[in-house]
Amino acid sequence: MSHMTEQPLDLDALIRETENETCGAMVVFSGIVRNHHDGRGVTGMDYSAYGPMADRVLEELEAETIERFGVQECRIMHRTGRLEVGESSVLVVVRSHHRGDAFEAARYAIDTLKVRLPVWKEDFYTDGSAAYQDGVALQARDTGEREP
Amino acid sequence: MLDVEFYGVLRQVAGGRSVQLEGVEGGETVDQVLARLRQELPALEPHLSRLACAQGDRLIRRDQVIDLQQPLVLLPPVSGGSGGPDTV
Repeated sequence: MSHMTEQPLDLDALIRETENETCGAMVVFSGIVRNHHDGRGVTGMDYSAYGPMADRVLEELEAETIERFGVQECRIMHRTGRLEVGESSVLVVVRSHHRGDAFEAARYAIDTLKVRLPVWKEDFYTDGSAAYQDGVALQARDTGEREP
Repeated sequence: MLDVEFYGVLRQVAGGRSVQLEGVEGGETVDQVLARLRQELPALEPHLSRLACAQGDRLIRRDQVIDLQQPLVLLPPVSGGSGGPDTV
């Protein structure tokens, strides 16, 4: 099961993959490229990833989210390459028996992704310039210890 | 010889996707290799304190011994998902 793609994200496919008749709740989070950053106009973004690690991180995060919150389904997909304003860069789909667990689990999944997933964003600004966004130091699973 | 790969902003700083470090010997730690790299590419200096290192699909600590058979991958602070790190 893939977790990283250069193709536009397919929410319908993730919804089909996670169908589960025991679940009364489904929460979808979609991260979307916005038209501004830090007070500057943005026309698009380029997402790059360290592939070998990124795929494993998302697979483990799905399993961890299911175990930690007792939800029934969790799928995460992240896109790479050049994206335009309004396009989705990441999808998180969580299904559970009840809505409370699904909301909490989806929030945990996206928040954790942002410190564990080796992905970088380069903004393209309306003035023609470009720059990588600064972020947070990558963290390993389990210990929560920062590397280095 | 050891291949060192760069990601994100480090590619701009290093001026490419990778370099080959000569003279790296078995038993050297990540820290020791980074010290060699600092001499080869002084422009990396401001980034060294916040970058993570990986070999294969795993992060490795600074005190771990390098596997000479695999590239050492240098990973700057990450910004996946959407929006800035403080907004989602």
